[in-house]
Amino acid sequence: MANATTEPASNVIKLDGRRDKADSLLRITIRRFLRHRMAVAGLIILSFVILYVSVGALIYSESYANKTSLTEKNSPPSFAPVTREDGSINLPNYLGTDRLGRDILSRTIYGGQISLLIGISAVTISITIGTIVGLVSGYFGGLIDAILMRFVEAMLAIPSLILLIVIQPVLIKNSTSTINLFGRQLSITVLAIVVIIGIFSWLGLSRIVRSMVLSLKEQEFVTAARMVGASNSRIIFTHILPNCIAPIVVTATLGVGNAIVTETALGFLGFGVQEPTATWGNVLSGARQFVDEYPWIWMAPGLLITLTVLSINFIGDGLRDALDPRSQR
Amino acid sequence: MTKYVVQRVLQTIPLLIIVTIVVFTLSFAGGNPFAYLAQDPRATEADRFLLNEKYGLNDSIPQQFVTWLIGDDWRMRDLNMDGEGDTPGERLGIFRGDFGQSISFRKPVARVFADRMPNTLILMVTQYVVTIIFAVSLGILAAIKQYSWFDNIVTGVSFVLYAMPVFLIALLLVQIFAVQCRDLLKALGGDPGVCLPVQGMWNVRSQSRELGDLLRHLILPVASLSAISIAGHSRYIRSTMLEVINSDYIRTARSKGLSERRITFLHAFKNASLPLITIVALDIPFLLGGAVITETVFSWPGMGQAFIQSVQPADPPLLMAFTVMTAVAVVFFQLVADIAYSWLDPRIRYN
Repeated sequence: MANATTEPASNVIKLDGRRDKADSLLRITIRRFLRHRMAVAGLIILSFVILYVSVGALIYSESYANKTSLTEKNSPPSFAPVTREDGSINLPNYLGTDRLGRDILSRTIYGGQISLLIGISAVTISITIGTIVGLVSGYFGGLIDAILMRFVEAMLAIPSLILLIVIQPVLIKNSTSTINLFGRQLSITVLAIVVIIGIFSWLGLSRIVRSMVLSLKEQEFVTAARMVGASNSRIIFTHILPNCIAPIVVTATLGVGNAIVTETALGFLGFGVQEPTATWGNVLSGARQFVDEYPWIWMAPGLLITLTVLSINFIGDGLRDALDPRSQR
Repeated sequence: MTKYVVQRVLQTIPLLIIVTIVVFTLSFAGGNPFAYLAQDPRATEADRFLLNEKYGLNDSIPQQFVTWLIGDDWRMRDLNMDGEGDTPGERLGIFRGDFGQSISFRKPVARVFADRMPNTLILMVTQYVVTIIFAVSLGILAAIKQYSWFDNIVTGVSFVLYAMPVFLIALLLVQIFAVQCRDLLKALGGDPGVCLPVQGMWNVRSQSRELGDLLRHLILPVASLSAISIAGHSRYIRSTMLEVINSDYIRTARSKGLSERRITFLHAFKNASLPLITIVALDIPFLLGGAVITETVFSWPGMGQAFIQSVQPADPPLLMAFTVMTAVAVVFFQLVADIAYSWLDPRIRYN
């Protein structure tokens, strides 16, 4: 098992029968992760992004982020306070405004919350499906395995962006309705995007988990569990699943980055979350019609997306090395 | 070997059946493409019926699937609305090369593809050649100079590029090489015409179609597409090269006193290029579909752009043809990759 193969010297069982607590898999992983310089840098960058979208929300209200202004359309970044047509004086548009005169800075704050939310929720869905399909397929084998794996191969043959674009009209039909989430009125399409990204990105993981299960189920500890009369579900969830945790964690981490990029790509093409709810993706969609004008529309969200995905990739790499029992760094 | 090939070919058949069913279901999930006519007061009930009948949309879904596969010229369609068939169908089905009539382009899907495939291939093949040249040279250099400043820069830049969505790179390149260049030359009193164009394949003002003009239009889309692929592929080539360089026969070659150059290119790269063949084979199908996002940004009149235009309002015949073409190409080239690899590396066959 993973924790038995790492640093065996410190894994000695003490005379009173208790194992040294300091060497649980979690602690070893954290120690190794913190030694990975890029991963720590990723963690710091990601903390700044999270700080930006959370503290920013204390300064700007969401209604301010959605407020349109006819006199301020596509105006460049400036430090001069804005007088709106209703006479109110607003904060300067530090990062400029979009085609409806909305403040880009506040939209990247609220958009960031939604983009991160989409990334995390979509991955939760895809990890759940991918793990279950992989476990079932690998453990039971036979006809179930053949059917599930042929289906996975068929879905993998269709490029994922094309799949998502073809499927999105199904879920984005009533784009005007809203849902209430965390005290915010959000477009129902947030949910739709989470679902379509989630249900189409588990394919790779299911194959990884399946191949791990195939080798794990032949090992002695599984035979032993079966001999003492453990049920299939007990063997799968308490004996096999914990040994598959490393690739699942890594896939989940990198998956958040992929889901965010997918959301922005869909948003950029105009197939993502519907306005007024902001996401990094649909803030960027303003740049699609004006490729060579108004660069401030895409620069701030673009930088935020790049930083987020970059840091998530670093963290994913760090976790992969930290969870790999063979690497002795 | 023959047994392996036959086995592998047979495996693709159920796969293709599932792919077609999935694609068909998905394309129709978007609803009736003429649904918007329900709000149009000029369209009567009869008009809508005829339009749906013409595109075969009044049939049940399984019936439509059969029509799509093998056509409907063997049965009668009801075009005078008396409840009985009177006119033979005109569809031939995909097995006879008929992909149906595109609704948004108002011509056969095959015609739309024939118009656009060359444009897409110009873009994608150029892009891919550039990618392979740069990825191979950067990957090899980074591997033989592992942990040097060169390796570190290549690694760092690839990480950043890899984290960027493709449209962001495109917008950035447009900003630098078209917009800033234009502004700079205007300020200096130069001719802004030397800056790179960002829209389409040809200069719309000139009637003649010159190769030079096309090449200028190619630079920005090719650069944005290759940037990400180079980042990914060079990392891959670097790691396979490193694996080979650290193997025993390279040490043997070195101890025999062979030159470093001979070792790198003859002994190491030859073996490191084996996985590269698989990668290339797996990439080819994605060249056919074009680049959905990049073609949109640069208004490149290719397959990807046609695909985007056929999403809203929905154009199921075009969507289906596009998706099925890509999927079949993926399955086919996976087969090619497997067979080529097992032929080049006999160890694979016995696993």
